[in-house]
Amino acid sequence: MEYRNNEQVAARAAQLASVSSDDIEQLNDLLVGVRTAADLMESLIREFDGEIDVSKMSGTVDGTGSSSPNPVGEGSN
Amino acid sequence: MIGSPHLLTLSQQIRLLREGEITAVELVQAHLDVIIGLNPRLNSFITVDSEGALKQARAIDTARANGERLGPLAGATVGVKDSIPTAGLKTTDNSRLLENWIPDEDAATVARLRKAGAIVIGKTNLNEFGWSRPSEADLMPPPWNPWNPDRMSVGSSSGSGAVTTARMAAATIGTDGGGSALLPSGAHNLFSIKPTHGLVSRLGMDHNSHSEISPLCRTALDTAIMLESMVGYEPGDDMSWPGDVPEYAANIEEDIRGWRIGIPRDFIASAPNESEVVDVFDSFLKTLESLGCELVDIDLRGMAEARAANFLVLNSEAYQRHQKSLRSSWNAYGPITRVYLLQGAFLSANDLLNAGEVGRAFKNYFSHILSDQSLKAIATPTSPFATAERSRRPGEHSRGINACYTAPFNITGHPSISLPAGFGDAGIPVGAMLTGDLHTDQSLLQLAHTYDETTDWSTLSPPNCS
Repeated sequence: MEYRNNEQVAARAAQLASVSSDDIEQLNDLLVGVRTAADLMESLIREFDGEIDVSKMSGTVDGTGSSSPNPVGEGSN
Repeated sequence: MIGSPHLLTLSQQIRLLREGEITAVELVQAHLDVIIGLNPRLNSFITVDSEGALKQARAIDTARANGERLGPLAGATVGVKDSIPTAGLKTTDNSRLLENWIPDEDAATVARLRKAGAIVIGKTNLNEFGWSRPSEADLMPPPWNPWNPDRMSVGSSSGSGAVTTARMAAATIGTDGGGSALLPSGAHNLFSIKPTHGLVSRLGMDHNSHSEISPLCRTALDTAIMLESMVGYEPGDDMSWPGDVPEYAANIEEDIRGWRIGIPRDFIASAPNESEVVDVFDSFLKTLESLGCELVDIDLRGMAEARAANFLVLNSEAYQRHQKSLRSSWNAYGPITRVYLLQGAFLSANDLLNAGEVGRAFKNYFSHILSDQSLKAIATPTSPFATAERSRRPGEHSRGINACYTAPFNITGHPSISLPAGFGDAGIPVGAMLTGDLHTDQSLLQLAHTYDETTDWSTLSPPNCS
C-alpha cells in the first residue's frame, strides 16, 4: 500500500470525491487498519519458489503467536 | 381457520397449506397484521408489499383450488434483504442513492424462491449498502432487536434477523460477506447457513466475490427447505456451481453419533469473548457431546490472517463498485458509509492479489485440517459479543473482531451454520457456529436439525411476539 501518511491520503482522497476535513480524519483512522492488513499480506507472501505456510501463522484473534505483525480487518460485518 | 398461523414454523405453514387447512391469503394477512403492529417500533422492514403479497397469495390459492401442482414453498412469506433486487418492488439498499429504484428483474435467488411458491412480503432493513455501521442518518433508521427493543439488531442483515424472529415473515434471506447473516442469526435466536461458495448464485445483484446469500430461519428444517429452493446453477454467473440440487430437507434426518467436531480452543480463548458467550458455548458443546458427537481439540492457525485478507478484498471490491458514484454523489451517501467505502481506493492491485493468495492458502489448509482429522465440522461461537452495541465499541468494530469467527470462511467459501444456543444478560440471543468442508452443507444441516430436535431454542419467541 503506497499511501503511508495522512498528507498522501488527503491528497488522493480529494482527487476521488468531495471529501471534508472530517471525512479525511475518519478515513485516516480507518486506513491505519487497512495499511496494517495490507502489510501483513505482503509479509506472508514467499519467494517465487515458496508456498505460504498457514501452519506458521498466528493462532490468535489479534494475530499474535507468529512472526507476522498484527492483522487488522476493516469494514462491515 | 387456524388461529395465529404466523406462530407456526415455515415447514408447518406450508404443510397446512398443502393439506388445505389454511389459505395463502390467510397466511399473508396474519403476517401483515404482525408487521402493522411491530414494524413502526422495530424498523425491521424498509418496504412492505401488502398488495403484491396478497396478489401472490390469491394466485397460489387459485392454483391450489384448480388442482395445479404447488411449489415446495407455496404460501411461505419471505422477507428479502433490501440489497437484493426484486422486480417491481423498491430496492433501496437503505441508501438515498437508490431511494426510488424499482428493479425490472428479480435477482436469480428471488426468482427461484418465487418459482418455488414463496411470497415476497417486503424488503428488510440493513446497514447502508450492507456496509459500515448503522446510523440514524441512513435512509431508514437502524432496526431494533425484538428480544430487547432497546437494543439494536446486529447487521448487516439486521432487519432480516428481526423479521424472522418476530414472526413478521416465515423466513428471510440476507447476504453474508464477513458474517452479515450469521451474526444477526445468532443475535436473533435463529438458524442461518452461509452455503458453500457458488451454491446460491448472486446473479442479478451487487455483490462481493466472497459474499453469499443466506436464509435466516426459525428451525434447521426451515433452513434446509429454504436453501433447497435457493440452490441451483445459473449459466450467467461464472461463480455458480453446476452440480445437482441436493435434497437437503428429505435427507435432514441422520445419525450423528460418532461425528467428530473440532474445537479450536486456543483460538477461541484468545478472542475477547464476553462471559455470557463463554457460558453459552460451553453449554452448546455439552449438548453436542450428549448427542454422541466426539469433541476433538485442534490447533487452528491463520484465522486472523484470513479475516484480514477477507476484509481487504471486501474493501477493494466495494470501492470498485462505488467509485463513480462516490465521485459524483458523495453527499448522497451516509457520512459513515462513504468513508468506509473510500478505504478500498488506497489499496493496490498487488494488495488485492496478495490477499487472494493468503485466502487460497488458508482455504486449502482448513480443508486439510478437516480431512486429516476426520472432522465433520469445527465449532466456535458465532460472535464474541452478546449485543450489537458491544460489538461496535471503538477499536473492536474497526478491527473486525465481531467477525473473528465468521469472516475467515468467507474468503475460503466453506459453509458455516449459526445455531441458537442461549441468551446474554441483556436478553439478546447468543449463537454458536459449525463450519464444515466445501459442499458438506447437508452434514451441517443434519447436525443442526438433530440439535434443534433436542433443544427448545426454536420454540421460543420474543416478548410481545407471540
